[in-house]
Amino acid sequence: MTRACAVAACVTLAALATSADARAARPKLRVASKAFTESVILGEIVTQAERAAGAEAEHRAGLGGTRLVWDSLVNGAVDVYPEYTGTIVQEILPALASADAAALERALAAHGVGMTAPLGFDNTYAIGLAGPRARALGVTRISDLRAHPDLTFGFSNEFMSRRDGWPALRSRYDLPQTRVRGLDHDLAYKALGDGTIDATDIYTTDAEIRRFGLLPLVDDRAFFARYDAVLLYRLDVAPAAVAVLHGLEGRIDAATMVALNARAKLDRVPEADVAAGFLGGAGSGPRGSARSLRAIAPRVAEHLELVGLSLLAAILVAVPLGVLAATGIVQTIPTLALLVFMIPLFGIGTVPSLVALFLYALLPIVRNTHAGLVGIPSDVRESAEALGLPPAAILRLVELPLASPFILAGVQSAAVVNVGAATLGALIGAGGLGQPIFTGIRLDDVGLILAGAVPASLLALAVQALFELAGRLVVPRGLRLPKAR
Amino acid sequence: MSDDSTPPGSPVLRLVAVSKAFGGVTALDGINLDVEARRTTVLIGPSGSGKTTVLRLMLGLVRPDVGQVLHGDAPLGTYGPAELRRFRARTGYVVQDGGLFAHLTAAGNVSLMARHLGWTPRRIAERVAELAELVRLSETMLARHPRELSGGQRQRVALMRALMLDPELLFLDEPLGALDPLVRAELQDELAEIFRRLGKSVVIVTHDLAEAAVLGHTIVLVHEGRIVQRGALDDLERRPATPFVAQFVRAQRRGPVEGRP
Repeated sequence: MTRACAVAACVTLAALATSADARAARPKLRVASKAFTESVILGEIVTQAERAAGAEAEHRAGLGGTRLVWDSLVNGAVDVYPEYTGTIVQEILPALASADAAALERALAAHGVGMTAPLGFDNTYAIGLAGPRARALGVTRISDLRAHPDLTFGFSNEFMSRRDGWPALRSRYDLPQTRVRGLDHDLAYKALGDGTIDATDIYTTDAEIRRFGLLPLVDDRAFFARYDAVLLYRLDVAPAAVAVLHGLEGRIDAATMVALNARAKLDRVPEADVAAGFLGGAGSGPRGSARSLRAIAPRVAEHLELVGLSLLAAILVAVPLGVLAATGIVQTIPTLALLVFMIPLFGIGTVPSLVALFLYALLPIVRNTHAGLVGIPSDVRESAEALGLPPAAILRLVELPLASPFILAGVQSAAVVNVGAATLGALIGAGGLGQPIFTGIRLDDVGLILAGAVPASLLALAVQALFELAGRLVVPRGLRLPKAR
Repeated sequence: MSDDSTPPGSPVLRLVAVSKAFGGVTALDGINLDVEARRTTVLIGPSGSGKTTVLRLMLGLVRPDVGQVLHGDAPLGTYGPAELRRFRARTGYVVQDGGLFAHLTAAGNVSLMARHLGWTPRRIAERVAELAELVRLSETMLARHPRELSGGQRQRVALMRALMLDPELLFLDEPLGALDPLVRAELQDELAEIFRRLGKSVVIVTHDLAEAAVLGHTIVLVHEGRIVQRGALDDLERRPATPFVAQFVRAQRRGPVEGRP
């Protein structure tokens, strides 16, 4: 089983990889950004600046967390993305002995990566409390928190786990709080507003400081490092494109960044238009276009492509596998479950998403094909053998038709599950209906979330209905009759 | 090998000292049995006595652990896959409950092998009509799926399917076992008539002595994997070879045995 699966997976991977190579051959500057608004705005500014300079550039907006985007830069999946010096020193290159600029540059160069000078603002961490709450408690500095052990903290998942995050902060300040939980950064503001949590990690350029009336506490023990925004780029990027990146150095101060963030998050202006406004150009599209039907249609198409292609490949591989398993040529179906653990990051984009969805779809189809074939009564099988039919004809004329309701049910459950799972493809840049959902979560825009979630749900229902219909075509009429007395 | 010139009674298929065990449990132990040309042999015995295993051995669906199954002079064990399929195509087999394919109509079940062999539609239609007349099944029923047929109708279809290629041998495993008594009595007489008209070499498995007497020339009583006696019903009644034979005959005579084995 395992070997056959591995072979099948390799064949599919090879086929998919070929198309990926063809894609990579285009000399296009691939800009990426991390999954929060400021990074997306900066990524958009870079992209538009490059385009204005005549380069062909695309933007993988909100690609993922630090590790994913950094890895994508190092392995060549993207060419440039905005980063913060504090993140580089603390997270990406923690082994760095000295933090001076020259040492940093050398360490980055060892990875084939270059860095611009700061863009002009320091977006460092701060601990923020709701203003009225802070005033009631008389808290203005982080060390003041020691006197209030009952406070509930809700930190972004990244802050909870990073080296310069909560664990280090707690030991530096001897903080006694035990009610501390991780949550999505954008949900933390809501939680602060309704009092579910008392404090969260904020960034000093957050638009929400103004919107929610937050009080950033004074870092009286100088715990937080500097987070100067810079651009990281691959050293093999064309010099002309690098020149454009350096042209952005020192152009964005903290006040500008807060304003840009507020435009995107509070005024709901698409990041592309915010960036265009900053660069002095016209907007790239009409306002609110992200929510229009015309904007959702391509997401639906991407979604269907993800589900359809992965399902097709899974059917072609899984049905024969199920047949082999049923004939005993390959054994131990359960080992197939291990394949799911083989879904680490194959990289970013459509191809890895297809591979992951393909692997997810294999199991139900193989299992149902196997169960359908094994469930055929032995006297029915022996009747077919006794007729003198060869094994291939028995499979084609008797066994597969008899197992068809099971096989179809397996394909159906794989399809419905994949419609849901495909939304996760947006997390690694594969587009689809997950894109408006995750953008909506980032922008705290319920309309945008629904613009992705509603079509995804409808799609799942449609797929369900489609398979009911397919049952009439694929399953022989004799099997759809009620069982005889 | 036999054809119509083979004298009735000469062996077509022989089990020679055959033993077979499944998972360490002995099913058959040193069986010697001749299937006589154009006669009906009835295997009778309590359920679990190994009767069905005899049929499966004779079709090459399972192989003997010890001994041989001889088709004419050739052991089935020496047949390659293609040769074995040719042999099976010349042997009709009706499993218990018919073993019909639920996804095909009655006619589709009957003609499946003929279609695979590339018979013309005309030839198929003629043969199906001929068999439908033989087993008295209407054209309406031929168009139905197994789930739309009664138990008796399903058995008729299964018999048609087994007879489609005009086999030399015909094996039936409890052909009437699942039917209610009235249908069963009616079909018993019909089967006896069909066997008489066709003149095939038939092996029937049953657990009902009265049925065996109606259908068979020779009755073979199997008990715990061994043949304990063979002969006509008269022999079994008057000269039981063992106390078990006497007991079996007595129990069956007490009243009609119904239901399943």
